[in-house]
Amino acid sequence: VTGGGLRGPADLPGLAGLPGLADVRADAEHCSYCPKLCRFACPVAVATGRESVTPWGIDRAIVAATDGTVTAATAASVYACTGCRGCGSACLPGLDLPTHVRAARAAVVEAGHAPAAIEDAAGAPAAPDDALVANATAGAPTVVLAGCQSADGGDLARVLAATGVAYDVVRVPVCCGARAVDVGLADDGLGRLEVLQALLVAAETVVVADPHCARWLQVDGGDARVVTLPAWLAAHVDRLAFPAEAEPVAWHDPCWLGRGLGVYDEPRAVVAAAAGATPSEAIWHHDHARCTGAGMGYEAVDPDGAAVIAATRAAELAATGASVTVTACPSAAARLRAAGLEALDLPVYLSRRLAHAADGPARADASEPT
Amino acid sequence: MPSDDRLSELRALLGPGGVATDEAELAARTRDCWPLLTMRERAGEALPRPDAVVWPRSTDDVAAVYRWAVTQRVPVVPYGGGGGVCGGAAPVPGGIVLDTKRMAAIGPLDEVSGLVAVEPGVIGQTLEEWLGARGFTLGHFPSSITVSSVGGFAAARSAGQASTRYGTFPQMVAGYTAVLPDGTVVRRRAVPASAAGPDLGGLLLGAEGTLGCLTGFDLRVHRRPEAMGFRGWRLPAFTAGLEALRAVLQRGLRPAVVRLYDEADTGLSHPEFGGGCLLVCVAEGWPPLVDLEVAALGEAVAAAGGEDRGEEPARHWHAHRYDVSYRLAEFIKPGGAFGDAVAVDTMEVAACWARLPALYEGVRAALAGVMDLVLCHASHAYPDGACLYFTFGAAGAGDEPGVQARYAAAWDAGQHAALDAGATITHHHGVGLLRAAWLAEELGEGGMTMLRRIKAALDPAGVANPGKLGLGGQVPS
Repeated sequence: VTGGGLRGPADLPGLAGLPGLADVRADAEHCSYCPKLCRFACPVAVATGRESVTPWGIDRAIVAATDGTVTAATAASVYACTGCRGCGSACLPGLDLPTHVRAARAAVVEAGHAPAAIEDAAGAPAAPDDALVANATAGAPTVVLAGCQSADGGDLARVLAATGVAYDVVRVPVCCGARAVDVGLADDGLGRLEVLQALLVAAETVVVADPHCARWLQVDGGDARVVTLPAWLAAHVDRLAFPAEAEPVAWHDPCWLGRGLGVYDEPRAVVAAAAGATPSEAIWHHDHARCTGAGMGYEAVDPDGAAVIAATRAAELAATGASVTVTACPSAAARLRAAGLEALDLPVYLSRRLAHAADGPARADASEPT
Repeated sequence: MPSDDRLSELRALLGPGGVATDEAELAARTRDCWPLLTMRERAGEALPRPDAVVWPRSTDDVAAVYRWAVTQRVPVVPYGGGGGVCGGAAPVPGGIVLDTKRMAAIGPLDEVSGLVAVEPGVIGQTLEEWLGARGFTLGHFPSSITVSSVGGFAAARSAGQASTRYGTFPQMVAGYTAVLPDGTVVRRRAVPASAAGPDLGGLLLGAEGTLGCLTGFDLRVHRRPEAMGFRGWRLPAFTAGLEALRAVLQRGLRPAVVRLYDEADTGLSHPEFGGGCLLVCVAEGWPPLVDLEVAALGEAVAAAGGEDRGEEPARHWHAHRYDVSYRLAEFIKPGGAFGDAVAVDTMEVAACWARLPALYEGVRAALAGVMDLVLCHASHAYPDGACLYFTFGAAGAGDEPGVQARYAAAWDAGQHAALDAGATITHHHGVGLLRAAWLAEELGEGGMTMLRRIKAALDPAGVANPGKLGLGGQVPS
């Protein structure tokens, strides 16, 4: 894909500029007068027991910073968020904490109080996997973005090839900038987005494997061409041949895919087709699914807290009895694996099932979408 | 204030992550959900902070914290979800907050006996969802369920919306573990009932941390209801509704939820009634019993001159049963729905049926003499009486000192009116700092003497949540 003119953030309908502290103050103040009714849904608050990291505590710190000074204490609160939107699912007024957190973190960075760990959490431009490039069709209207967090481009290439759909990829190292914006490096993130959008200008459909990138591009960026990989695969799953032997699997809703984009049914349909069985659900699932601690750089800033969150979620998924958990977020899969759970990102799982089918008889109904 | 050296002993006990003294955390520990503290912060007052927050992970940890506190003469304030509305978890300057939320294990579940083991830091909603996935319910649904902890339920003798069927929280406790203020551990096995001496657990439930900290519970749970029944009626008057409730409760029936709203409250939620009082019922359990309870209440309502309004009022209430908590911020934030410096609070009192009409009139008049808005509903009904739950508010028009004075006057007038009517000053919110003065009036000289002697015997060093329940305690240097 080559650009045909620059399409920067200012041109995108949903991103006229990132909100600043003053923009989020009113909502943050509203939250700070709530009796913390979402605390049960906040993975960081549950894992640490700290009041300063509840959404109430974060928004209270934001109000204090807006009316006074951004301090190290501001940083301690606002970097303790995974952006999972668990609070949002329990918030009747529908406040969007990640937006508050992004604004506050940018202010914290500007004030010089950001944790050093954010540099490592900001993501970095990554080139597509060789296999993805090898199978790509230059100029194809469908462009696939694997995301900078996935190390499984070969599996994604195999799945895409099995669909038979021609696709193209961005052939230079890119990053959408979401992770940089998340940790407070707003200019870096917006610059990366600008570069990427310029490279995507000719695409008709942009299939994004990482739901974090997908939400940033689709919701924040207002790019209606963006579709998540699970949603795209759900429309093509009937082209895939899976093994006849069913496999018990569990499904973990990624926060940015589920609560972030409202995509719940499509990945379940894809996994059910691949596994030959309806995936099991943890106690907390769908819009109540608990986080793995992977989001918004939290695992870099507070690795101990993130480990508790991941262990909690892994135990919930292990309790389903399934031998493998499938998700559609490379970061979530990695967090769950680090907690000792057999967890696979969707392309990896599909690739494995396709390979299994190639080694043995495929299901007679493999061509039937579920 | 504990020195760094002394806190290092705590860190050695609890691990480096078990003690916090950082600015962010202490700044978030200035209050619980007592509206007066919120109002004072809103007015710009810097409320006292604790000197440290500690997170024990076990009963032994809690015992070690108390032993350390006695040695160092440092006040200890237990803290769960911070959802209390009376200042019971407000910090004590120079003291530490003992946060129970890292003691959050659930299970095992004894399905045969209907018992579940729970640690104090478990949030109510989490427990209910955990039980629900296994086909059980605790049956405890306070409007603070998403924020409040099991330990907090015990500390304040909490009651939920379905208490008429499932009881108040103390009735759900079959066994417990507690740590007394000198570090002594008390373990009471789960039993259905016992005559083995006085009810020591009953002493700890409602003590709000002044006699130590409850660190484990065996709670009575129930199979999830097979059926639910919903019904709403319009009553011509509040007293007519009370008569209908009394008739059903005294027949031995226990519909899970019965809520009778007075005319002022009904007028806000159901203006289409054109006056009168709304009564909603949610019955649940064995289907024939559900049908019977709804029918019996319908019969009693008809005898009291009421009219059937179908299922919708009760279904609507059930769908929005926690909404009022979410709307609180709209009212109390600066520049909220009713302007600056608004005061909003609730006062839940209870009395026997014979005294309820006088209680209703007395407290309503007392509050209305000071506040702009007074609403009331009856809930938590028993064979011998019920709780009256008053909601009151004042629009301060930006005058923070003025509205605080009105708030204080409303509480004083309302609580004295309750006492004059022979009621208890609190049905399920507890005492904390707010009600200390009136507690002494309710218990009387003998009762307070007994309570003070118990406090002195169990907490001679005075470290256990000093000031709460009017019990005093150690004054920090």
